[in-house]
Amino acid sequence: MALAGNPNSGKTTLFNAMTGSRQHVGNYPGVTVEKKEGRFKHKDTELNVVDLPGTYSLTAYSIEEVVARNFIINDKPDVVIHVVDASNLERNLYLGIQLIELGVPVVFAFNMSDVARARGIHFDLDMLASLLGAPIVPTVGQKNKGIDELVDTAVRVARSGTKPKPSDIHYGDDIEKAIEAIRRRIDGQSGFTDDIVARWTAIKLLENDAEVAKLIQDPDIHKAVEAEQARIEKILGDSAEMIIADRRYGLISGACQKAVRSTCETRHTNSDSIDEIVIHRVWGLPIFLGLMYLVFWLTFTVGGPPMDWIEGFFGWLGGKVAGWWPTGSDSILQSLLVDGLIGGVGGVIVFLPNILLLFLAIAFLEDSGYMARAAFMMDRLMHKIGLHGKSFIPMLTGFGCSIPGIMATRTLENRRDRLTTMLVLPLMSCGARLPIYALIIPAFFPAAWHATMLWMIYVIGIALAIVSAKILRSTLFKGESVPFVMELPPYRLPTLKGVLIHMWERGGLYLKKAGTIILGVSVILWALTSYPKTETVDTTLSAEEQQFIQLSNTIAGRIGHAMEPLIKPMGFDWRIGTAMIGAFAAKEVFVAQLGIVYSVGEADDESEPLRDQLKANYSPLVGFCIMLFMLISAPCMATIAVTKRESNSWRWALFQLGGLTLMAYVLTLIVYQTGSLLGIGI
Amino acid sequence: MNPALWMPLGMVPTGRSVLLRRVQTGHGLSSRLAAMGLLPGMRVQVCHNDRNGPVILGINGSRVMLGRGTANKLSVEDTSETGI
Repeated sequence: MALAGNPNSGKTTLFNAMTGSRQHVGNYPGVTVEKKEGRFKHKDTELNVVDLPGTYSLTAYSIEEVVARNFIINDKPDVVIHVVDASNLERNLYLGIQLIELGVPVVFAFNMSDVARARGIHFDLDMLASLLGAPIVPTVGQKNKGIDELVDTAVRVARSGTKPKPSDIHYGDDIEKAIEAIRRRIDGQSGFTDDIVARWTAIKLLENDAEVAKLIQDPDIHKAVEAEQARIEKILGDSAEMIIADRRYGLISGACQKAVRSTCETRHTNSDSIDEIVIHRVWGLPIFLGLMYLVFWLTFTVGGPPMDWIEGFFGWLGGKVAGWWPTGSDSILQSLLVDGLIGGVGGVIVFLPNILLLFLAIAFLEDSGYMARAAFMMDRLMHKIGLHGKSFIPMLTGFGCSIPGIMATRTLENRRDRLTTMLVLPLMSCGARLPIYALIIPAFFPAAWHATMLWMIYVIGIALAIVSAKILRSTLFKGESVPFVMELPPYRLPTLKGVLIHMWERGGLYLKKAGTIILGVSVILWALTSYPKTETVDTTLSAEEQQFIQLSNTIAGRIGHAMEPLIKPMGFDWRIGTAMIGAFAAKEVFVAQLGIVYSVGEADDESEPLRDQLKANYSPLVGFCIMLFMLISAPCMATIAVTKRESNSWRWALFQLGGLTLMAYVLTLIVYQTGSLLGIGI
Repeated sequence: MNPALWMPLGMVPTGRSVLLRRVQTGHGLSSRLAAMGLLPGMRVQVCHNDRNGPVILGINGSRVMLGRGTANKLSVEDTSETGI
């Protein structure tokens, strides 16, 4: 069973209502379009349902459309449920007509039927169903209404295999003659034994569909298509694709005139009055900035207490595990478990409340319809740097974590736009970098400066992203920006279930990262900072000095020393160097690693002794340089991996890694050298 | 149909209801626009049009925003002015 429908038709809400949390998100083979699948049992039938990407049509304009129709053609679902926004019937049925044309069993779900009724739209469902040749079930996804009946009907249709007749869609004599002429040429060719597919292919060829045209090798057919297109244009005065689109709307409005009675046009009135304020030329931007501030504020204040609990838990766990060994024992296993595993993973899980809250807020803004308005307002600014408003949403997500941000670039149709957004996205300071700032700022700067410093770091990141995007757009990714077309969905109150599912889709990734990459890296880093052991340490030295010598001799210490000449011009010593290696695995590791290096045991961003140590060893200028470098430099391994996957090439991933690291190095160098020269902050 | 009365959509002030006359974009985009209900002959409401930034259109009850560049590739006729 497949769910098809327009974006914002409530398709995902229906999908969630059917499957609950039994969902599986993957990718369609070869493309980076998310494939959502779910299983559930309805009465005695085991059902497998696929939520196709939201599309307006089944042309080849975007990957989503190609994916949706290829799934229907190749995977042959037993039944396709077309989720229709009943309050916007005509445009939604434009997709419906194309589904009928594909010759698959279809069931129409007239979703949001309550909204439609409230807006004075009355349907004669029986008549519409007979005109469309497929059953219609009214549903209200948000209130779980009509879903049982919908699934009943879908199962019945799937069992009987009743299909609507594509030939019922009649495009008028001139077009039909052209379709017939092309169909006869295609028919009988290998792979086109099916009359319905042949007719569909003929229509798509007339519509100039690039994907379908690629499948046809015979040059005679292409010539015939061109001849028919020219003939149609001559007789009807417009291109074949426009005439076909026009006829489809003609068929729909014909059916609607017979079966739909609308007493008044009131849709969007509430939304429009909200929009009058929210996207106002003067108020729009302050409201947007205020909302963003609220999101960050919520993330950190509400996230505070659970963070303390998690921290407390890991501290307790570490103590408990350490207690298995007698005091003063030098067990390798104890050190691995307590310092390596519990310390490393715990230090990362601590930020889970922050991350989940940020994603919760973003999911709320998305589901309510506000994100589309944010894209509207940002378009002006983004246009200046050669991107458009849609690129803004992934960037905003990047403040939480670059990984879902990079994945969110999937909504951008154009590859140039997508790559530009993807490459500059790590400059949006992610949540994992926050602990670094939280450690450094209070160590070096007076309390009155804290908020301003933090704000400055974020703004520097945004400014650099803007400059980099502008440079990329005028060099590597030259070319006209893609047309910006996006629907503004009416505002709705998001459902708790929907928001939670969205939050979990992304937050789960973070947990997965903690459980896989960070777990592995913690062990490696622990080993690097523990071995080789120095056997002969002068026991007359203090414990701290002993540890210092130990560390210098370990692999991490040696790497740090080797790096020193390179990082010295930025004001960094070998100890910062070793922490930087850890930060490549995951930015948050920097704090933990610095703690290990300064051997103050369990380090976290609240640890006072570590701050004192830093203050004693470095100047505020170095502190600022650390933050600057960590902001810009090498995105974490997981980001590189995701960039590789999403851009489908190592080239871009390595370009991102190299470019950002170089930028970080040069800028930090300039800041440190200028600062030292002018005597600022030393 | 008098092409002399046509103008780019980007010039239509907020609140006007206009008739879409011609779509001069690439093939792919014009069929996408058609799928969203923007087809010559359709009536379109201009819901929001500042001097810069995207234009918001009301099409049959739905709201669609178009970048300014795209909006100016659509020719419309302001029928409320000519009284049709």
